[in-house]
Amino acid sequence: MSDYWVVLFPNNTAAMRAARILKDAGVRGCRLVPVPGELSRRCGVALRLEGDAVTPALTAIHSGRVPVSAVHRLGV
Amino acid sequence: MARETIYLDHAATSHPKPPEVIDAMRGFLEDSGGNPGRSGHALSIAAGRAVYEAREAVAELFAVEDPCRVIFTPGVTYSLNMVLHGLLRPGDRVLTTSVEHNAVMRPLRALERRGVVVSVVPCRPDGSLAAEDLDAYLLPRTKLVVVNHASNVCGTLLPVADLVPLARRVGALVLVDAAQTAGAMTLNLERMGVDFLAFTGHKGLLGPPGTGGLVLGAEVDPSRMEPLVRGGTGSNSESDEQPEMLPDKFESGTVNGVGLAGLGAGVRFLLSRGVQSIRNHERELARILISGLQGIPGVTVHGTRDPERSVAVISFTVQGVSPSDVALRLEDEFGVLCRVGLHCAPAAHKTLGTFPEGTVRLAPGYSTTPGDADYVVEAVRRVVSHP
Repeated sequence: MSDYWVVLFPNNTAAMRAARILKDAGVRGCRLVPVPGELSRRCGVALRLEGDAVTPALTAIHSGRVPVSAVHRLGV
Repeated sequence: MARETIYLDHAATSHPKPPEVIDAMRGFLEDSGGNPGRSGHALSIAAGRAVYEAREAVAELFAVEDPCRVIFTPGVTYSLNMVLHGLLRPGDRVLTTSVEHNAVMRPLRALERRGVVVSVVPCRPDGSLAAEDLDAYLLPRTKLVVVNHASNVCGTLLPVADLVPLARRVGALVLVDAAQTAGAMTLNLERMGVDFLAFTGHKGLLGPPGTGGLVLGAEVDPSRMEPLVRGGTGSNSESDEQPEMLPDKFESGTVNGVGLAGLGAGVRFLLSRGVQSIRNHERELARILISGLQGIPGVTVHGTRDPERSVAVISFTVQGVSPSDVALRLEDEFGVLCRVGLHCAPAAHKTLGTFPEGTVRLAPGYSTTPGDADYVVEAVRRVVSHP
């Protein structure tokens, strides 16, 4: 398994907003997933980004001024 | 006259809803149905997406840049209470008008008993208010001005945009009750300059009952306002303190996902049809009803009688006949469904001089046709001429 990234948001609305922005921007390799328990105790969803998606996704999220709590690099 | 059912009670709730609204609600229950923002599985994500899309649609409708400043509530009454109870403290002054709905007046009277100073600006007998009428009432320590954008009794519009600079002079925030105007006319929060816009989902926005919200202006600091309800938000779950972030601070508990799916569809229907086109349509209906009713001897139309200065909410009385008798005959003999009485707005009726008997209220909507309006005028004519 290759590395992937998990973006945590302060709330679900921000996660949904990020997902909408990425969909509109046509960024592939990203999906909403349950918040990994080892990263946060909050409920709801995080955004998982596969390798090639990281740069365009984070750029689009930043441009859209979506608040981000943390970005973690995970993998095996 | 042929008997048919004509629904003229859109000011109470819009009916019928567009098929898209019903489809969205059915789709939510069948295909989404998870708890938005709580779990991370597919059904929860689908539900969260439906809620977010409704938030985006409302933000677009009111020209709000950040959808997080759209707070969903069970309705406009809740939204108004949220601001009034969340913001006002003993010793604060609040200014309102004499045409407000009880959704404003009742919480204000309760707050008055706790030391909030409530001032009521008298409106004119047609329900209107000139901005300068407000000026003398804007005293120091006025924290909030709360105004009905349009009367739910007679449709008269209040000059919200003109009131804002006056309120600013004493540092007051402005809360607008848009129960009758959201969806009925173009509302641009920034251009209006208001701080809080309270709306309901089930009237002009064509969504189901149990939906509504509050839009916070870009300059409003949410830390100044306490939430009405605290609880689970799906965020900051490790903490037992209410989060400050929007919209979570004011949206505790599971939101009405199925309702909001319907509200989102209703708003998208409005956006695709164009709010201005609906405004033009309803203004024409109001013109037909007002001019027709005014031509009937014994009928008095209350309010400005000017479709340009009001939304399509028309109140009338018939000399010598009680409003309830008029409405009963309109329904029984002509299939016309309307609302009579005081419309939960005794203050407005006192202003119009129609308290305590009330009025007959005709409120056409997007689905009403000019032919319907002509038919209703003729129905009233027959009721009046054959008592």
